[in-house]
Parts: sequence; C-alpha cells; structure tokens
Amino acid sequence: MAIDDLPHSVRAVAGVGFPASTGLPSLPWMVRLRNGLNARQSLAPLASFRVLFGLLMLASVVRFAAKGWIQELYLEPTFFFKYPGFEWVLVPGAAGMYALFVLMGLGALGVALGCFYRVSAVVFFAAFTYVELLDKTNYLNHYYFVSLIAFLLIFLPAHRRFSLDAFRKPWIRRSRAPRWVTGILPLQIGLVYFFAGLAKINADWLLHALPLRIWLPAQTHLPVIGPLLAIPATAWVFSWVGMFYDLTLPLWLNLRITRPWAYAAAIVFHGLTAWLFPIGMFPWIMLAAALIFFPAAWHERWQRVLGDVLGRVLPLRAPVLVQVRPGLGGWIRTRFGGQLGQKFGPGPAHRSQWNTRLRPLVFAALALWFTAQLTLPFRYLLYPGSLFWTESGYRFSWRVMLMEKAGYASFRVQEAGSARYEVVRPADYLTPNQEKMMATQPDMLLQFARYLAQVYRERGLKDPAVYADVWVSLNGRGSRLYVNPETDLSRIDPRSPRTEWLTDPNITK
Amino acid sequence: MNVFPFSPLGRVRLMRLTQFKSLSALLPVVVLLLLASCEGEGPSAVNYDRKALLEHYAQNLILPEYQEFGAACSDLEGAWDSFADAPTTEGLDLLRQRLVQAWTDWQAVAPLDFGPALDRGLLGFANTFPTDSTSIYFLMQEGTWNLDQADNLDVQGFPALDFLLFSRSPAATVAAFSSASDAAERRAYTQALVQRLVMLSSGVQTDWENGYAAAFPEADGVDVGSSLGKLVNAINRYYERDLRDGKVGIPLGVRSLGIVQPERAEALYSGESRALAVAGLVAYENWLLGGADAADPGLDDYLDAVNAQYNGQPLSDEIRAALADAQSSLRDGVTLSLNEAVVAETGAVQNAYTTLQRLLVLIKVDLPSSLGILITYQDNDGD
Repeated sequence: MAIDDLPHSVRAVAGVGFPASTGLPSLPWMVRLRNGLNARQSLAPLASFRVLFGLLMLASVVRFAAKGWIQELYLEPTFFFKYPGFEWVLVPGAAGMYALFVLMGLGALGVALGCFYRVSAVVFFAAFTYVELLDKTNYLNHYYFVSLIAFLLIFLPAHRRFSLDAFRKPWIRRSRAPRWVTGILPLQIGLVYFFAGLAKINADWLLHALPLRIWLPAQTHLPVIGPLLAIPATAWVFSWVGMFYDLTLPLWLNLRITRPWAYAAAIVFHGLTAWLFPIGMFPWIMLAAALIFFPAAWHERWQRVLGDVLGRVLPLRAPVLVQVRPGLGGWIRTRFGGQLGQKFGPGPAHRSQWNTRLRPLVFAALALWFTAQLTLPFRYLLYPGSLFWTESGYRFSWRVMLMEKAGYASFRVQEAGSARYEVVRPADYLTPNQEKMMATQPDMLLQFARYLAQVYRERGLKDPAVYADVWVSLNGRGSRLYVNPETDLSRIDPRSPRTEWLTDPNITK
Repeated sequence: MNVFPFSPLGRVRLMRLTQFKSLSALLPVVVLLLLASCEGEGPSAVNYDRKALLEHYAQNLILPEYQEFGAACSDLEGAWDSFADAPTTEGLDLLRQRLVQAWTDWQAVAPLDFGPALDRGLLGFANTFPTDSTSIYFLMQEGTWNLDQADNLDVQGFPALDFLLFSRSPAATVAAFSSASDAAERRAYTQALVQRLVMLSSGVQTDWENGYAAAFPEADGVDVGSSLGKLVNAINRYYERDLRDGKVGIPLGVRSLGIVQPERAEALYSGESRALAVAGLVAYENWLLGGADAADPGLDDYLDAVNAQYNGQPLSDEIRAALADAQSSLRDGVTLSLNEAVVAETGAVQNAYTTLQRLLVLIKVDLPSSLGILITYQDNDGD
C-alpha cells in the first residue's frame, strides 16, 4: 500500500506525513523524494548535538562574562550601532545585562540537559539574539550561526531522547523522526561550510593568497609550525586547501569512507585556526557541529555508555505513571484540532498528535527558511561596487577571514553657513573596539555621522554638517581615502548606494 | 550506506567510492600544481626575527632612553636642591635649563605608555596640560596634597613646574621662592613635584632594568598581549592623542570649532612647546625606524621584510618620508612657540597638523595592517 493511501491519522502516528501532492500526478521521482524525506532516522545525532551545543554555549557565556566583555562591550559604550529595524533593542542596565547572561546560561544548560527543553531553547535563543542585536560592532558570523541554530533547535525534537525531559516525561520519548526533521541541522551546517568556501573564490584569496599572506608570517614565533608559516607558499596552500575544505567538507563528512579523514581534517583545520587567530569558541563549535554527520549508531553507542554511567551514578528513578499535562505545545495542538496524548502507563505511550492541517505551514516555513539561507549570501549582487570595499551585503553571508581591512576615521563637524569646523576624534564617543570596527564599515560610519549631527545640534549648532576623513587599507593595498571628504554624511540615506559616497568603489574589480 | 542525512533524495546513488578515493587523492596534487604555478610571483620567505627586533628596542632604545630621562630628572632634582637652599637667578637659570632638558628627554619615552609606565601612570602624572594654576595655589596654601589622586594630574609634573619656574620673570621667581610670604609653601610644593618626578621616572626605569626589558622580547607574537602589539598600539595612541592633538591640534582649535586655544599649548610659560613637539617627533625615529642609524633594525625593516607596499613603493619609504615631513613642518615651517604660532602663524600650524595626519594614517592603518598586528586596546574575538 502506498503511503498516500493511508489515512492522515495513521500517517501522522507513523511520523510520516510529507504532504501528499493533491491534484498533481505523483511522478516516480516525487514519490522517491517524499519517501526519502519521510524515511525515519535516528534522533541520536540530534540529541548529541543538543548536548554539545548547549554545553559549548554555556562555556561561551561563562567565558564571555569572565573576560569582562559584558562590561566592556555592553556597559561601557555610550553609543550603540543598531541594526536597522532593531533600534528598540536597548541595554537593560547593568543588572539587566548580567541577568540576561544568567538567563542565557540557564537556557544553554537547559538545552544541554534537555530539561524544560522548549522553554530553555526559547530563552537561550531570545537572550543570545537580543544581545547580538545590541551592537553591530560585535557582529561575528559565528554568533549569527549560533542564533540560527538556536532558533532551529526551538522547533526540533532534540529532547526526545537522551534528555531529562524524556526521562521524566516518558511519553515524549522518540527514537526516530523523519529525515526532513533530522536533516535540517546537517543541511544548515553544510550550507555554512559551503558558503564559507564559495566566498573564498575571489581573486585576492586564490590568486594572491590574501589576507593569509599577511597573517601567517605574523605567526612565525609559534613552535613547530612557525618556520612553515614563514614560507610564502604556505599561504597559498592554506588558501586553496581552505577553500576546498569549506566548499566540500559536508560532502566528505557524509560519506562513510571519507568521514574519519574529513573529521581529522576538520580537527587539524579548526585546531590551526584556533591556534593562529583570535576567533574564540568558533572552532570548537564547528567541530562539535560536524559530529552531527556521524552515523546514528556511533551516537547511540556513546549515549548508551554515558546513560549507563549516569544511571549508576545518579539516583534516578523513571516515573511509572504520569498524567499528561497539556503544556503550551499541547494547547497549540488542540487549537489546531490535534489531540493530547492520553495517559502514560505500562504499555506503549499514547502520543500527542500534530494535526495535519499544521503541516503545510511547517513545510512552508522550512522552505522559506532555506530559501532565505540560500539567497542571503548572494544579495551582494544587487549592489554596485566592490563587495569588500562597500560591504553591502557582507554580513550574514558566511564571509569569514576574507579581509585584512584596517582603517582610521576622524570627522569634521561644520555649522551651516560657516567655514568653522571642529575635528571629532571618535575615541571620545566610542570604545576602541567600536572605533576600529566603524572605521572600515560604511553603514557604521553613517550611523556615527548622524549621531554626531544630533550631538552637535543639541549643543546648539545650527544644521551641522558632518564630513569624514577616513583612510582604509584592504588586503595590503595601502591606505586610501575611503569616504568622499566633501559628502555630508549626516544627510546620506543609509539605503542609497554606497558607491555614491565612497571613493574607489570598484577597488577589487 | 552512504547517504546525505539532508539529502532530499533518500537513497541517492552516489558515485562509486573508488571514484571518491581517486578524487580526494587528486586534491593535494591539484593544490600542488596550482602552487607551482603561483610560486614565481611570491616573495621570498618572510622569516623576520621579531625577537631580535624587540631585543634591540628594549636594550638599545627603550632602556637608554629611560636611563637618560631618569638621569635628567636626577639632575633636575640636584639643581632644585641647590636653588631651594639658596635661591639666586644663576641657580634659577640652571634649574630652568634642567627642567627643559628633562622635559625634552621625557618626550622620547612618553609614547611608551604600556607596561611599567602604564602601571605607574607616568604619562598622566608627568605631563598633563594645561596645568591648573588656581588649584596649585590652593594646594600650596593648604599645605597638604595627595599627588597620587587621578584628579590631581593637572597640578603636577612638567607643566606645573613650568608654571612655578617660568611664569614670572627670573627676579620675581627668585623672590617668590625666597622672600615672598608664601615662599616656604611654594618651596615645599615644588620640592614635592620634583621628588615625585624623580620617584616616578626612577621607578619605571628600575622596572625596565629589573626584568621587563628581559621579558619584553619573549612575547614575540602580534596579538593584543604581545610586546609588538603593545608597543605599536602605544606609540599610535600617543601619536594621535598626545602629539597630533594635544600638542598641535587642540591649541589650533580643531576641538573648538576652529577657535584657537593658545592657552592649551604645552610649556605655556617657558615657550618651549615647539621644541618639545619636535623632540617628540624625533623620538619616533626610534620607535618607527629603530634609531637614527639606517642600519638599526626597526619596524621599517620589518615592513620591508614582509614587502609591505604603499602605492607601489615600499611602505617604509613612505613612512620615513612622512616622518621627515612632519618633523620639518614643525621645526622649519613654524618659527614661534605653538601658543604664539596658532595665533600668528595659523597657516603654518594648520599645515603641520595636516602633515602629522598623513603619518598617523600610515602608522595606524598601513603599518599594523601589513604586519598583522591587532589594532585594538581591547581583547576580543574576531572571525
């Protein structure tokens, strides 16, 4: 019997249910596709991922706080570079900021343990993303990655095995889920690598080994590999290997025969980057993430071992008879015509059911998500000028380690109708970190110019015009004038093409 | 079974594994081939000995400069002691010379605001200007003062001594220290300032002699905590904030809508501001070029070793030229002391400011960027 012939409820219980293509002919490849997506896969890799991700996030939160960065990055600045549309995201005071990080840590712990999982995942995602939205200065691709993953985890059944929730609420236990569910994270992670590799296909990276040719010789003091880094060829090898590595790693991780080698390569690659560059937790996060490509049996084995150990160490007793309480998820389900699981007792669990009416929504959301993920890195094509120079469409595109870009910015504020001007040193308003990041990022220069205009207007200057003297060096090209010094930046529409007020907009073309 | 967990086609028949094996075996070959084709254009091995560079800076530049500065402060104290015992115009003359000498020697070490100097707050305590003469009078009359306090930066150091020793005519100054009603208080206060300078300078000098100079070359990386990182960030920060702005820009009015502020110049009373600024710039020959001798290893040689370019020319040449221009714009372009020059020779000072700016861009953008030095005073993750 074909799966489509089963009644909806049966398919739902079976956990399948990729929507039948009603009205369309079921071509053989569509059937194969549907069957493939509905094939049930072990949830063990996802559960492992949940544990490792949660623990790494907890470590990141602790590390961030221990380094004093909450103070330095969020409490010391008096001005913040907001993201458009997120101007309402404000620092909730010192106590609020620390509370936010405590919440974030608790959320991460809850995710790791699979304890109050959905709530924990929501809390972690919300706290983390809120903090990231506070200031563009601190944008890192790996923070963006964390936000994306945390968001996806909210909806994924990562707590349905090897978790405290599954332990104390046995009726939620599942060992498998359809591939369209278990494949979401591997696809997302694979895309990150792929796009990181794609971004490396540019003249500077491949033909000139830049910026590695600048960065590697700076590390010749390191033991063992130091002398190797002094050789110019090393930068080329690293550039090309790095490009192939990023582009194809998900593929090699997927194949049984290449997997151990691919993972060994990942250890070497991420280990090297961790050693050579100040990139914090990122290498460890990616190493943990890559484990999701390992076979389910591997994950099940170590979960069993760990479970046994924990079972022996901890005085845990599984609940025998528990009443199912309708939680938030249950409430939503019943609103959409589903039903709650009944009771748990001896014998098979009665499962809560998703109503099939909700499924098209879920699939639409997934399609939307991955369409966005596939197109965002290409949005730079819509803007004129060199991507590396204008940085239009640079963020949220997995462009990591591509540029050695340094700059220096000072501003001139001039009263309308007067020749008198004042030179503003950004350091008087910004932290060293903010100043450094702003000096090479056009949107931040605009934001700061607007802010200066406002500051001087409040000081009683009539119609202040704000000009910038900015010098930027990109990948060793030498410092060049970055912003047209005759442009009043406070009157530039942030949405207008940056080529209109940046000099040399086609520098890399 | 080899499938993509995320593959929409559950069981894709992938290429046979042997194909993949041969592909992955090919990869290094491809890379090597590409490499071979690139080999021609690459520069020779960059194996610059940063440790030796740092050693040269510590042993041959920084230590001698601190020793010279320390000696000049002792000389100042000697002249002060003689003058305080028996205030005469000859004694004052010597004292004033010694003050200017120590202040000039200070310019050479002032940019080294990291390590011992930073720990002891030397930069702020030695040379915060303009000095607050009203508070100085007040403290003098009070008879008690706490010069360790951060809000007392502008009542001590060279600018305060400049006020005490240069603000009146020689005869009037001698009288103020000998026969005036508050002469004893004035002597006590000046004594405290001189002794404090000696204490601070000898403290920093001792720190460098006893360990810091030896340890300096050990942190030979380029990260935030590395010696090169500290040095470059310190000299850049000083150059921008204290040299370009403090000595030239602020009196010129760049912070006050173009309205000149001669009263905010350094060495207001002795009129030595231009000479001091030039001395500060000359010191940058040490920090950027490794010394006046072209053979000395310096950041310029390091830049050459990594083949750093600026508009197709060696970046080091550009830096040398910009430094020479900056020096001559102040030394030759301006003739008066800066507090007078901003009023009488505004154009020349304006020109000097612009010339200083050119070097700033080179040392703040091009230099660290070419050497892979982290340009921030904050530790943070990148990606």
